[in-house]
Amino acid sequence: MLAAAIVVIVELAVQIAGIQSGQARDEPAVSLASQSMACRASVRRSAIAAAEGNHFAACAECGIAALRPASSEACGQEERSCGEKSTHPQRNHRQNRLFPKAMDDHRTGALFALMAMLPLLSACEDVPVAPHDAQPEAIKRGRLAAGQLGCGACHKIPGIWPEGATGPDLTNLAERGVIAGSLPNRPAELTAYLLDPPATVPGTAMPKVPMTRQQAEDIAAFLHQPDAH
Amino acid sequence: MPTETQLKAVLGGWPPAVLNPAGPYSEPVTLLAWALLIGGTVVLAIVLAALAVALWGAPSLRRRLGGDRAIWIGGIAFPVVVLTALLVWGLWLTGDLAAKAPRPGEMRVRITGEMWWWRVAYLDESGRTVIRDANELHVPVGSTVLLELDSADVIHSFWVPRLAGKMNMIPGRRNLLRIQADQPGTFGGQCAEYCGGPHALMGFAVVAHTPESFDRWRASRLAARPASVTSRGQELFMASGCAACHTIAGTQAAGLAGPDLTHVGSRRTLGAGILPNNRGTLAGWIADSQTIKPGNRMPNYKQLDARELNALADYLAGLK
Ligand code: HEC
Ligand code: HEC
Ligand SMILES: [Cu+2]
Repeated sequence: MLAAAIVVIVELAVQIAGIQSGQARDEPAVSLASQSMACRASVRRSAIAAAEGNHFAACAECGIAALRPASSEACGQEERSCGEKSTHPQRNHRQNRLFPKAMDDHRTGALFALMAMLPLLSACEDVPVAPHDAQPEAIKRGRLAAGQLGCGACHKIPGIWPEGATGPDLTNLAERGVIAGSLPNRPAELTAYLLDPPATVPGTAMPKVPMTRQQAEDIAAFLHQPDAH
Repeated sequence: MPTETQLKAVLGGWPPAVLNPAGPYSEPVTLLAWALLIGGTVVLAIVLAALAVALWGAPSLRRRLGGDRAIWIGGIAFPVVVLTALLVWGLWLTGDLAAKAPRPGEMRVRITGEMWWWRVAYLDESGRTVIRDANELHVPVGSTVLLELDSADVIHSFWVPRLAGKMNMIPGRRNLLRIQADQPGTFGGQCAEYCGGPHALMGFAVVAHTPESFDRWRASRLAARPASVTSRGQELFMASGCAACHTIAGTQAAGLAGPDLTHVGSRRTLGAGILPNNRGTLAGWIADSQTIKPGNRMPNYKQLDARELNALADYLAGLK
């Protein structure tokens, strides 16, 4: 009983100390699970390659190729984590109009995919995946900058208040194929978009929010992180 | 923590730190708060110790605890002495916090609580309004400022914890509160009396300047506004009905239902202390303030397209 009381008192003191130094906002931890990052990197790589016009892109992590047509409509479709390996052939079946039948069998699919992947490995390597190399420091700065600039006034961004609805929900932005309906979802393009949206995507509804290049890069790194679900 | 500090710098110190005084009118309050807290903890510890003795102590100790003497000392003498001392000390400490009348030459500002923002009027010696503003108060470091607090609707409470204690804003009454900042900076405030709807999002910012920089600020506010060239944004402002609720000096906009926007571009915050102020948040606020601050008295403007929204935001951001 005495122990319980002491616990309460200590807790109270800690809380008060917290209030004093102004730690009222809790900062939700950004999940940095490297596993899922690597996986998403490859998924996104394939999306980017598709947006670039490559006919095939490989999910190197799983060793299973994600064969995708290069139409932008396909790359805008929902992305899946390649952690669920078994969904790959199925997705290929759904999305690949070239070889629908061959993909029905998982094994055939995998084999076919590996074959298709071989000549394309180099193309896959060319695609930069910088956000995933981003320093945790940059991600932290990015989250702070996004809050400071009030991006939440128009977007729902995990860990940032408020949760505005004028612009799209930016949860899991990394898994999106294109940004603002037209740009490949890569760090350089995202940074350029953030710095001056109307100049990058004419007619976009996102206003130019004054920020430095460093802030834009940090925010891009932050937004490209997989969100803790 | 630098991140926290930066966040506060941008949001005008909101939400405010409560036990970190920055002026002579909040120091006594903070001191008293700590004294009460620590004293209360000590008393709680004594009571718990007595309880432990009563439950598990040696029989001789328990007998002494249950005797008349323990009751006289612990139950009557101790509280009477401690509480009386506290009362005297507290009154002595906070006695001159209550402001009674303006001192000669003292700066006076009337702040009116509105649901859910603050109307600010800087007064001259005779009590006439010389500068109108909203949601932000500019003061010089090292001088006292007398705040005349009232309310236009329900009871609010003006609270800038780093500069002073709380003071209620009561419709039909004028409560006086004196503040002084001892260091330059931005100090967040918060309505501290539930006033309905988005009460929790009714913030405030006090900006303390060095005396020179304050004089410059004041001169710029008193200077006549150069006649502005009509812009697309200004046209939209008049055409969209914003002028019915907002005033922008030097234009036909003379509405009084919402905050004065004459200098909105130079405000630290938007939405009464809750958002940083830039073109993006301006556009976001105009398009959909109801998601950001649910229930506030400005309607959403979803009918504006991207170009119009940006033109409006550019216009307002330019009102320095
Ligand atoms: C006035 C509201 C507004 C503000 C403030 C705002 N945005 Fe946007 N944002 C939008 C809109 C609207 C779009 C959709 C644009 C389009 O698709 O053309 C958008 C698109 C985006 C996109 C692309 C999303 C996608 O899926 O296509 C990103 C990333 C983005 N914003 C990030 C930010 C960041 C970071 C900030 C803070 C610096 C910010 N936004 C501030 C309105 C806003
Ligand atoms: C019905 C009255 C009304 C109309 C019409 C209206 N507003 Fe407002 N506006 C308000 C009120 C009330 C607030 C304060 C909201 C709050 O913080 O609770 C406000 C707040 C604002 C703010 C934030 C000011 C600050 O310092 O926090 C801006 C900017 C603004 N309005 C711009 C506009 C624009 C632009 C239009 C026209 C497109 C407009 N308003 C139309 C009532 C109105
Ligand atoms: Cu209130």
